[in-house]
Amino acid sequence: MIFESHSGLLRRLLRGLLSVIIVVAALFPIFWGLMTSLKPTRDIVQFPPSLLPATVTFEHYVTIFKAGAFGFLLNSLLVSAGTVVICLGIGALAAYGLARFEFPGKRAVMVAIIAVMSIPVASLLIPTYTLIAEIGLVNTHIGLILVYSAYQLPIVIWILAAYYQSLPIELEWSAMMDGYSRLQALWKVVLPLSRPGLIAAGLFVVVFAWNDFVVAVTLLSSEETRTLPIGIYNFLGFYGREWGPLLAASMVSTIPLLVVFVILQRYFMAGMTNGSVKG
Amino acid sequence: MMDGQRTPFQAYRYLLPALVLEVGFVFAPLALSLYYSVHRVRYYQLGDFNGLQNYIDILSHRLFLNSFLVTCSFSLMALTLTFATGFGLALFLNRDTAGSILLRTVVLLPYVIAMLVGSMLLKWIFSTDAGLVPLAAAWFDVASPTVLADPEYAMAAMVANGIWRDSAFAMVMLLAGLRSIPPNLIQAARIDGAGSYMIFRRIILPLLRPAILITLIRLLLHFANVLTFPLILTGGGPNNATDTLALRIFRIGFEDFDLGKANAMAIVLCLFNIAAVVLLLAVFRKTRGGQSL
Amino acid sequence: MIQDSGASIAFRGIGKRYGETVALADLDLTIQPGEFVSLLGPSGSGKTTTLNILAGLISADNGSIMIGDTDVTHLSPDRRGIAMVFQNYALYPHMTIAENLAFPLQARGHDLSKQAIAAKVKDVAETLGIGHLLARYPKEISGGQQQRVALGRAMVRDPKVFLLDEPLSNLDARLRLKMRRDLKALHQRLRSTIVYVTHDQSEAMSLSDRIAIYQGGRLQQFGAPADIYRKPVNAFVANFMGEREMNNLSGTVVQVGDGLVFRSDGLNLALPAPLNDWARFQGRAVTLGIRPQGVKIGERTDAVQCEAVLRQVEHAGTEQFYYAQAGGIELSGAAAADAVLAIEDRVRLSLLTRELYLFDTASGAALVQGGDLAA
Repeated sequence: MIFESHSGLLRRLLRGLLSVIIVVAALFPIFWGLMTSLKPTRDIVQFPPSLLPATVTFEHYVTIFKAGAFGFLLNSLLVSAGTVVICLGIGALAAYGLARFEFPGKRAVMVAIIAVMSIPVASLLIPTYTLIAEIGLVNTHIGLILVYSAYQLPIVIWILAAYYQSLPIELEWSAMMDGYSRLQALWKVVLPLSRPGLIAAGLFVVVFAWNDFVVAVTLLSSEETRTLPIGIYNFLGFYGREWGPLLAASMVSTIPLLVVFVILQRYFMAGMTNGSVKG
Repeated sequence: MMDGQRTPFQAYRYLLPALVLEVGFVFAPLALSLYYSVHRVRYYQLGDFNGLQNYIDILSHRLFLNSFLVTCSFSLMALTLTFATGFGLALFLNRDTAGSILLRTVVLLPYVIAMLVGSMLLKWIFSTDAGLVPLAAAWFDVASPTVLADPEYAMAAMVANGIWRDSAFAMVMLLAGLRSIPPNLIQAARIDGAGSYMIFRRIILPLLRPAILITLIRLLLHFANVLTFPLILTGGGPNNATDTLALRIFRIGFEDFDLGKANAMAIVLCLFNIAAVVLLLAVFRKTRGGQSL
Repeated sequence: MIQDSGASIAFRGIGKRYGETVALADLDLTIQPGEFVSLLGPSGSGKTTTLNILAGLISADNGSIMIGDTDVTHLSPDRRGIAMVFQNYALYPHMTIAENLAFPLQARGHDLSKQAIAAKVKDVAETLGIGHLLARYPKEISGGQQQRVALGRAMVRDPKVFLLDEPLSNLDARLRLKMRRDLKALHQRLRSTIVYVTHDQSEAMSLSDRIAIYQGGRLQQFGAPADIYRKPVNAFVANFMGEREMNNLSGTVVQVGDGLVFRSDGLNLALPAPLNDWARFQGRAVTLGIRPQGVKIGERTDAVQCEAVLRQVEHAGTEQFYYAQAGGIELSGAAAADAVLAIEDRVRLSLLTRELYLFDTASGAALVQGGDLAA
């Protein structure tokens, strides 16, 4: 808040109105998708459309789970978890190197981190596909996890390095004087204190890996390896204008993520700005 | 804070795994891409050295020019409107009341869900089957357009997709910028006699400049490379009216299976991105240490 | 450069709460035109709240404020005719020193020409000795110079009232003393009203015409520095003023034979005849207070005497401070710098009666101030 103002009734009304517009604009598409996914097929295209389903049905959810959505869900979980583990493991180390040492080439490394963080994934798709095909990792989860990790590591390193730097270095010094090695000090002192940073970075990685569609659609080809977004994309080709199953699949992808996000959103916002505003 | 160390390269022991991964999966692909781009490639089979023929082919192709123009006009519109919306939201929600915190979370939801899902939800809203567009048209007593089948409406829908999803990004970045302005400065300006407009023009805007620049460049990078919006929402149509560069590359690579041309085009797009990133880095450098000029 | 002197300020029943917390309770305070008044107290005592309400940065829940003849209670900060120097100076980092100084003059309602503004800026900068820094940015000048720029930005509008929020606290000790003198000289020249917030009692003592001392959201006492030092209204004020805390001995006054005795933890102090009127404090819990400067080694007339053993001695340049044990009590006292003091020595201590204070232990209210009964 910039300064106190004696806000009049009109001012408050305007704020209220604007708030309602914002909420509706942001949430209506999600709400409308959810409602549609719960309507029986014949009600979906009825005109004029009804906001709420007259009868609630889960038939579309049954349809997509029969069509293999459960397997996609598991694949998404596996890939997301794998990416988080690799990113946080490698990222925690690299960030420490960056935060606590002065070394030749440091500037180049930092510039490279910002560059990779900023280059959009879409422009790397064809090159990445070309390479992954060369080394025979097309259509494997491990290939996808490695590519995801390579894309998300820079932001993880950036967030964690900024976090480490906010911790007093004396804590590590005293741990090392108490007879711990540097790595032990990192493991026993720095990492436990960096929990908010780790959560922010981890959340970022999860959101990316769970949501990614463009990388997965280029690297994965078979039904067995498909992650949820690819599953949905294929439904789009398969069901065409049958919106019930399509939107049901969208909700299966969205709802778990929203739950996690709403619980941890303040870490997410911290991560967004850590990675970009604080140069 | 640094401590004295015996070997200056000790840090690389910590950085090594990350560097290997980045070199392997970001820089090596780019190098390989460069190699492919100067060869004839058909159905994933690497053929003869082709010189700059792929580049000449794509740059002179009618569809490339079209994609380039589509990307430019989309980026420009989406950038302007998304930034303006995000700035408005940041100013509106720059307070710590429960309501504002809730609203910030709500605004972020479209940004957090999968782009694919978001575009699909909007595709459903804009589709004639959903009945919302005819309903709205009836409301305003105009003929109901088939949004995604009309070139101009389709572009507008894609821009709307950008605003809906990415205003939150601009909002968060600008909010962080606003937060970094010491409240004391605003108070001092008030006591110095400045009104709201003068405070905004002379204090807030200049101090926000780095955040504004960084937000603009990152949004531009995002929009100029947009693939999911057109792929899901419009399919690049109608009649290539929303066929962005990234979508064109995707199609050449995975529908025409011409990896030579696709890589050449990816390199072109990357060069543009690198130029934007260099600009971004320059902004970072100038803003280091809180110096805001 | 300022012809008309400052304006008077009057707080009438000003209060501010944050939820359950009372930040400021029913403040009544009148400041004379041209007066230098310090608001003194520990953090959270209400002094900064007072200043911010006076500035219009926060609004009071109740009460009214007058500056001169104007009721400013509901006026925005820019219309109160005040200027403020912030603790961290709040210099605009993206403007040069000249632009910082010019900023208040460019605000609405001044309508000054560019030349007039430049002349005014130059004038103020020369007065403060920062004329050579005008083209620099705040980051490029020293803390003391930033402090002057902040002062200059406040002066440039010729305000009737200056508000200074701990302006010296970011400077090192030597520079602080110099700026203190400069500030006082400036006030003597400008004769505008200055309200100065500080938690440093020596700063308040040396600068102010009058001091308002706060605790727990309440104004405790308002008066000239010497009066507050000599005649504190309660134990808090007595202990807050002065470089060192008082000796505080809690106990009771009892009649023993013909005379009065102050009985504390393992220590009985016979009160001399001039203190016979203390008889009226018998039967209530009281605290005997005395500053270290009132505790002397050796026998003195008009003093309360006791035996003690020296435990610690500190040299402090112009004098020495010692801690001595008397019964179960530790007393601190001051001695001349050249006095020979040896630890474990047995000494006779004299507590000068004109330096004695007596407080009601429960309420803290002063019963005796510097040997005299409180009014």
